[in-house]
Amino acid sequence: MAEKKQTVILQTSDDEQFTVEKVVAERSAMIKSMMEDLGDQEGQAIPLPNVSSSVLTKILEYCDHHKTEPLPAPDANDADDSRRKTSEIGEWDSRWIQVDQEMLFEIILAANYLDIKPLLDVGCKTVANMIKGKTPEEIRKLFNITNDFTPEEEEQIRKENEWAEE
Amino acid sequence: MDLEVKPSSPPNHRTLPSEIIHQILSYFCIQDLSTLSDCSLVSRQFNGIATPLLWRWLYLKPPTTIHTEQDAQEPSHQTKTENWTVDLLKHVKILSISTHQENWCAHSKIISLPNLEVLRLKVHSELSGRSEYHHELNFGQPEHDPQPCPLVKNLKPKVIIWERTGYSSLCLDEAPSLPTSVWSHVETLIFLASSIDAGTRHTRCNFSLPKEIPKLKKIYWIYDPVSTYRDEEVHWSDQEPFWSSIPKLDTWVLLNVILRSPRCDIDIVNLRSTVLRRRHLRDSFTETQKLMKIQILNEMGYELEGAMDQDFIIPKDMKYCSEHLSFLSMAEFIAEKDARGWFEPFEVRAWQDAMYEAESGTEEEREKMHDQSLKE
Repeated sequence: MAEKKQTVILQTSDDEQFTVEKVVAERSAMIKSMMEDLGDQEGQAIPLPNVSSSVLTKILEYCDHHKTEPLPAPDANDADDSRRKTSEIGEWDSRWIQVDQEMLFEIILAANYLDIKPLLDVGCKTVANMIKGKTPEEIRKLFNITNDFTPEEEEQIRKENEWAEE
Repeated sequence: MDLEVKPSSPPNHRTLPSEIIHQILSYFCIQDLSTLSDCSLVSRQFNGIATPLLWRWLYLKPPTTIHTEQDAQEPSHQTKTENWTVDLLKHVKILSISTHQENWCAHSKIISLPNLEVLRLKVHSELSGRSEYHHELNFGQPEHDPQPCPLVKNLKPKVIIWERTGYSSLCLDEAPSLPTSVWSHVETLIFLASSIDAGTRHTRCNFSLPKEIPKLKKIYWIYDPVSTYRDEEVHWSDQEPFWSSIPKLDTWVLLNVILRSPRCDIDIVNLRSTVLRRRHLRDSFTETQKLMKIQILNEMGYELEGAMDQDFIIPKDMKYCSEHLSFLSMAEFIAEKDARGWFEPFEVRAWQDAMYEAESGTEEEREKMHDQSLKE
């Protein structure tokens, strides 16, 4: 078919504009519904105030790779849905997600904002794999969290959950 | 989905919102309890997310059992109850109990699980497959009412899952097993039968029921493909007579449940490989299911005749049984939204793997057959 590829313009938080194929942008349920609302108003940019250009570049790579796959059902419960899928992250995805931790968290936040369920799933699974085998202190470092328990509280929780430790 | 994301904070200080942390931690299932336990110590926020996940499934094993290889793979939970608080027990959605021994009951105190959804009764491997446990059932009420186990006494589950059904005795060795009150809210009853039992003759388990299960709507009889794979192969052979190569189920037990429940459907859940072994390679899935249905109804008719002599409470005829009996493939069962909540993700994954294996296996066999027929 000689039909011209339909595109949409996305504008990032740092005011960069991206011209993107509609099938690629549609991976984001949020952009998809915005495109539907905008209708045929060609040339109007969709603002993405929560996504920077570096993160969007990375995410568009993902969307482009997966553009031919069926979109997940809009009403699918995300937790249930992710449980259904196999635990493994696909080969291409796992190579693609090898980024520094700051970028990984940015990708997850953007996937959540843009409503790209399979991407959120890949991101969360990657973080879950990073948590495995880590001590509470190491997990705090990973998530940039301070310990807000009193020593007594910590001891109490330890006691309650003793059984779960190997 | 929540589209609100807090405005960007300076780099290196981005934190993930609770809903995302919840999604991350929910990948840890019953096999990763120690990770969840570590997460619960990270901070108040993490604790609030990890604790409900950690206590969602309470899996209890008797203090002393014969340990088999299979048991060793299963998660071990403590049986000490002194650290159980009302607040922690509120999180329990699934309670799994292994076969009972008397010393087990002696250790336990009465517990209340206000949010319990599923009660899973697992018949221990050392008790399965022993002929002395194949007792005839008592129709009607048991003669005496021994003290019910303190653990199960106060429970009000909506779903009861009976694991390793078919060959074995019930969770509690002596009938009656579950007090009538425990059955009062049960809407779904699941028999998780090892596929290995599918190849054996009709068995009767030591199973006793209250006079009526008023809220029961659905029974699933599942031929668990994973336990076939874990145990030895099902003994299908070409020499076997036609009927005996069709999976058996405990029609007697099913009939009993149907007769006690005013409105109840039965779904038989099987995998293609449960029926497609050598002999039935040429039959389609649906053809085999048709044969199974005839067989099951035949057996039920026979059992029903026997039951009529015994002054049954709710008489029903074979037409009723026939109308309420249907088949589901494993894939269809997993696709049912509720069903997934009753099992852990790793169990569902194991089924999916088994399905994949079974499908590819039969394909191969098919090709071989196709090649052979070409040569001929």
